[in-house]
Amino acid sequence: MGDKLVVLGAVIVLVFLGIAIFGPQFAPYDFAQQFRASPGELLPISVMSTTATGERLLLGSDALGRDMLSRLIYGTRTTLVISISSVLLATILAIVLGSLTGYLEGSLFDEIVMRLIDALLTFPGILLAVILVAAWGTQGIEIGPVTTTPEMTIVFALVFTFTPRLTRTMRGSTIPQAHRAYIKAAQLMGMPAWRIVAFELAPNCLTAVIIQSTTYLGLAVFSTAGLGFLGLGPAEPQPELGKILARTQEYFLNRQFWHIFIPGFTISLLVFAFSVLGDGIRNVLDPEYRFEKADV
Amino acid sequence: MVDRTSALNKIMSLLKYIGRRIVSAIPTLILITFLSFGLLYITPGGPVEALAGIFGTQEQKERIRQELGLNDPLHVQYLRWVGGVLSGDFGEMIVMAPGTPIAEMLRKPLLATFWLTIAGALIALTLGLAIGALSAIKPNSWLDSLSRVISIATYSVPDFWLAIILLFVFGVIFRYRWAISGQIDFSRNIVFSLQSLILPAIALGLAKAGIVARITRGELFDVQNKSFIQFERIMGLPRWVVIKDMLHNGILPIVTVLGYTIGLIFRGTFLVEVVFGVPGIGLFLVRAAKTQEYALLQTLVLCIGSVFILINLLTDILYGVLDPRVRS
Repeated sequence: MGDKLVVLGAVIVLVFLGIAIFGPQFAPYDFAQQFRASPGELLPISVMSTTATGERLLLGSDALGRDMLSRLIYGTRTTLVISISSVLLATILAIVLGSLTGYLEGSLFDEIVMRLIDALLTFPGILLAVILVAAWGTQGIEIGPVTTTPEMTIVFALVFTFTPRLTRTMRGSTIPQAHRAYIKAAQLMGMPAWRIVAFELAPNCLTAVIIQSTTYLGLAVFSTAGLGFLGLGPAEPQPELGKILARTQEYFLNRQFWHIFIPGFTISLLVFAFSVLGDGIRNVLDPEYRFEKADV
Repeated sequence: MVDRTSALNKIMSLLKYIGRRIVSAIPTLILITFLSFGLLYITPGGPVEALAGIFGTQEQKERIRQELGLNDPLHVQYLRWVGGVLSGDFGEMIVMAPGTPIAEMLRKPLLATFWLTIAGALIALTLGLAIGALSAIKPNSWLDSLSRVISIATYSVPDFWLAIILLFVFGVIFRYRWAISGQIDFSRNIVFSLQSLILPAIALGLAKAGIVARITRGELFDVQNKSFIQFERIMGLPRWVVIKDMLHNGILPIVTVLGYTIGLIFRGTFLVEVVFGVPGIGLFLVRAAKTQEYALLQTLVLCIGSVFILINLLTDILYGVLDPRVRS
């Protein structure tokens, strides 16, 4: 059964990646285009209903008359871009920081970085991201000549959330390797420290951190959607899955069940697929693994 | 006589252990204050703009500039801020309730979140421990697969979506008034508060029960491979006896699960609070984030950090109480 689940997860992930990459080609409308409800009806337009101008909207519209299906397609794109890039960046940062602190175990640099990580880990999950996005604001920040986009702010906040634990993992797998004979040999050959870390040490310690980062993809989608849901997502009219879900409470009055169901279901499906796939990858790379608290 | 001294020794060693734990929590607490203090300085507009908020007048800005003493070196500013916090001065609200001291505004939200966390943790623990223990005793059985499916499902379903669906079903379709109130304030109306607690607690508890079950299963898995459990099984003792002995032996792992669950639920409360409009810390945090109310944000960072440190500390102490081996 486990294998079947993994295959299912992989298929769902591929479908979603397809939607994210080729979405603009087959999205029926622009995500910001507004439709009017047909005469005598009110917005939001219900599932499978026609607009005033005669278009039939498969999933209806949101409260501003924008096509729900197109918004979901573009929203998936935004959510996936934010979550995948934040996990990628966090992993790279963790590999650098983790291998350096592992190699320089016990040094002042190691102490400072690890204490900082301890403090960041006190705010688990998306709490830290919420706090950081709150501090930076969602309008974008000017750093010298560059102004960041709101999406970049979210990615930075998520990188801060994911890096601490990943760094710990990387450091943990680096420390035993750092005392091996080949590292001693490299030191005796007079190789500069950065070369030892970058070319000898780090490549041998990647398995654990890569396993962990794949399991973080689900968490990243969850966090991105959570931020969007709290109103700390990308600015309007840019769609994002959590943002779309946050608007669903507007459909309570006209009881649009599908409007409430579909955005949340899409998020669940994505998180499900990523976590099952992550588990599968972990089982292949590390068969001895046991479920741990640090995974959540 | 002998008994009394040994009892005294036990208490002394426990007290020493507790003292050591408390001392070891202090560095983290100090780091949290750095983080909370530093929050002002990483804001796009700098501390004065941040504290004055979007509607801050020129006059307010000038006052804030003087209060912060921005010309002083950073460590002096930090110490002054910490001194204020220690004497209960967290600053004032600027946007939401202008002029009100923050310390005054915090009591009710803290209580509401506290009750919500307790109720949610109760549901998550009851369900999670039961499912986890049952699937640990029979690994790879249908029950184990079922618990796996449930835990993956609950792991994937965001608690805020579950909350919206519950709100829709009970509030909009069945039209229960208590379902949509979100008013958790036991000092005012106990019955109504309990009713309002039900849906948010279920949303939280269900969403985390799967994870708790998974961890419980993992923790108990080792215990059930021990020889005396195997022996009990071969003897054909009733299943509840075996489970009882396993739980007794696995009490330490369970305590870990307990502390962890409470942390998990506390973390989940703020999204669920937003859905149900529960006036707790989470809703406060989100409002502070949206209105860029930085003094409040700083206080909340300090509060939330301290709560997590406290949860870890209590878990550690419970550990020491239950198992004398941990103390040394």
